[in-house]
Amino acid sequence: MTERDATRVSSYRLYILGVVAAGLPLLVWGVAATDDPTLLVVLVAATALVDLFPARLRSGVTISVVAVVTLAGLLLGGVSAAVASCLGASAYSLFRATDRPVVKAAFNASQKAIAALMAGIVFETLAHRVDGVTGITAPRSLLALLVAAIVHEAVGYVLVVGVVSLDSGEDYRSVLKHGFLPTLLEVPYAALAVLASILVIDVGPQSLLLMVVPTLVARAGLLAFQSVDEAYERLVRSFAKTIEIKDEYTRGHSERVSYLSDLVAGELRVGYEDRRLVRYAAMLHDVGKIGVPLCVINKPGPLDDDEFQLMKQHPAIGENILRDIDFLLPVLEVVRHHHERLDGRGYPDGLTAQDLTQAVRIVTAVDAFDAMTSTRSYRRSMPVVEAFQELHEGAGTQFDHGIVDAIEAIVVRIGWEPTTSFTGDVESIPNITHVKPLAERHDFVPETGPFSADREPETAT
Amino acid sequence: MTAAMRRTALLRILGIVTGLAVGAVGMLSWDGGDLLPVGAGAFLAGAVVGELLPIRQPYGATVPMSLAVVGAMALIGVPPHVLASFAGSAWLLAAVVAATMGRSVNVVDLPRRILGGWILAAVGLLISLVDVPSWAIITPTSLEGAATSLGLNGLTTLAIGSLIILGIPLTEAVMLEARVNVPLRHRVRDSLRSTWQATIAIAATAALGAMVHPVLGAWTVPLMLAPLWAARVGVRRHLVVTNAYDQTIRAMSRLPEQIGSLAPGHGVRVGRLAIAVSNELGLPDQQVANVERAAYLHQLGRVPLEEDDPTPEMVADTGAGIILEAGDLDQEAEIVRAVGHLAELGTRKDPTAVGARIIWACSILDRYAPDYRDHGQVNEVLVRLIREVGDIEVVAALARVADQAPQPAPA
Repeated sequence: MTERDATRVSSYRLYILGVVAAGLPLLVWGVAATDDPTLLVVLVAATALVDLFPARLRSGVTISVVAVVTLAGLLLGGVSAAVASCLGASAYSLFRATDRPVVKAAFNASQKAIAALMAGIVFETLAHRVDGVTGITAPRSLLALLVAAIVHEAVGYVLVVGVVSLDSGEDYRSVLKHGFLPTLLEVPYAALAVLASILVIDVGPQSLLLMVVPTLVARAGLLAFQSVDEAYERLVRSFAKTIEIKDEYTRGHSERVSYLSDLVAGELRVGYEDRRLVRYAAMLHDVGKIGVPLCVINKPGPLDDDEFQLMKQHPAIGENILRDIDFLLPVLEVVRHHHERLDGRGYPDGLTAQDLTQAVRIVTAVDAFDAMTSTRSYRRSMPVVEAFQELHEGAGTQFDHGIVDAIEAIVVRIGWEPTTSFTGDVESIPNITHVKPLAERHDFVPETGPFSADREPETAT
Repeated sequence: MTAAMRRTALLRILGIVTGLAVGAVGMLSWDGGDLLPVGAGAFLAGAVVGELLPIRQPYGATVPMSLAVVGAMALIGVPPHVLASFAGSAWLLAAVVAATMGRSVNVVDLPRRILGGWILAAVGLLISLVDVPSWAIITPTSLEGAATSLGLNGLTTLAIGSLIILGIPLTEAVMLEARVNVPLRHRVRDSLRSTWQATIAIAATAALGAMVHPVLGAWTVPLMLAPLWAARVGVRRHLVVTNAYDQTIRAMSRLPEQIGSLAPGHGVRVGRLAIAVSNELGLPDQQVANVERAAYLHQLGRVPLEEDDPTPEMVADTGAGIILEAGDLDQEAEIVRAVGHLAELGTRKDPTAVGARIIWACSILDRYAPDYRDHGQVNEVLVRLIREVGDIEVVAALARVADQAPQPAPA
């Protein structure tokens, strides 16, 4: 361990300790200051329940309605009840975490208690006194609750970003920027808190069941989405493998290009959905090669004019194969244009720099890099250093400068080596140094809430 | 103009005239009463937004979120003719917005909305005449002791909730012409399975809205729709990725066609024929979906094979192997494998055997009698299929499908 790493680990531990030291007394105060024991038990139980069953909105972003219970606690019992309800936020870590569950539980409950306190102070300052249904539904209270919800999410997020940054060693500001928007997803839940509070006060807690039904449907939908989404990844991978099955020299190429393109997109701060499409585009970019005779693809030597004409058809064939998949429509341009060049001398359409999107540029450069560093039927693989020389020589005419730099940064970071064996699985490619996925390395990142592991793992999982 | 076109045009005219007439009569004849302390405008705005944001589960009918607003109004006690006009007006306004946004509008939905609003309100009105015990009426604390008729009647809630949950699947089940051979109870079950999440969330939201409207006033609609919107987000994400999954499987059918041994579009045409034959045989929804996917993938095994003319067994076994690797298509892989081993299936009638026979029959018809209008060619293929498939029901269903198809389906 280097001295720098040792300092980071110490800061990390100190940070956890600081958050817990601030949060635990708050929780004790919250419990002691809440007058209504029934309300306290209901709030803690509700928080624990929703904390135990989060739903994934997308890879790396989970949604739970803990914030709804905290804000409802704020409306029903004041700041102390809101803070006390956060005791339940330790449930997931206690019952489901395998590594140091007690420390994780303490951190999660503490950071949520701090966020609840800040939200509570803001709410009380803006709304003054809230009594009964009339008080809750007053425009001033509703506005104050909205601001409190934003503060609650922001404080919680800032605290989690701290632990992520110290754990990974990445710049705090860059981690902060990465997941800010997803945090806002839970702000509209303030509406549910208002509704829940009114139901409890005016009709009785049993009426909350009516609110729970649509929430459960939302969760069921998200769970089903998660399962089909994972199946979809497997299907696309099997689609790409089917193409490569005949050609041992290109086997695993699509998987590697997809893997590296995803990391490069991450390095370039491409948004989540675009990054996902880059991954699919890279996986399927060579799908049209199925329409090119194998003797041309595997020819041990340069292609003659006729053969090259056949080869040049593969981007258009690929586009034709994928044309009916609505979800992959943005991918089509990558499939069609991944042999274009910035100077307009590429194929099939001879497009120039201004027509080539970032996704196309990423896949084009990564495709070339992997082709150079892989053994083919007509030549042996090139060392990584030489491949970079080639990429840099082509930068500005064939490849994008920024993307070449990003590939270089990633390749150095993960220890990429030339491919001399052929397989379809990244997991079994020996040349990629397996870095522990980020989500696993963040010991103290809460497994629930909008910020949990709010980044893609930095290696294949 | 064909009879079908005339029918559609007539329905459109009827829908618009009915909607406008009922809307005008309803609005002009209602004085507002004391039933809605919130402005009808807030409910109308909510219903319009709800029309524009429907909920749709994969393979299911579209359920408009506006039904939650209409259901809440029925529970509040809005008279039938007013609610009918309200639902119709909301649809019309939403249709104008949708058309402006370039989205398609199905005019047949208008009479359905009007009728739906009328029925819900009428049921609510009828049950309110029944003497309901006091324990079945939920009155908000804020209204206790007040001289008001407000309060949620448990019996009405149950009836209207059931109507919302069962009404849409029943209507869909009856109206699905393509599945007319499927027993009605199976159609209802399939339809319920593909809509229940949306309808149960809507029914609960309607009750919620009716319960909180006396105290929430104008905030009722946005707040009651918030949980429902969350439900829509979840269900929609599931729908989008499910559609992508199915379209990708269909795209995979083009892979063996690229290597030259099959006519372009063969896989897609066989898939379409297989759906039609499965429906003709009255197979349940899930089985039709499995047969469809297997049909798209039945020739996938050709891709890695070196032989110019591989045997059906080789194609089927290799294809099944590839499909199994995807990890989630076990049933489809089994069907694809069985396609290459028809003789071994004997008289089996399980879903795998039936699916395999359907796919084989459709595939042979598409390859050897691609023009279904050529009766001589089709008959020759059917005779061959009776011998090869050994399942007269499948061949007869295919014959009916081919007979009804006006021309080969485009790829």
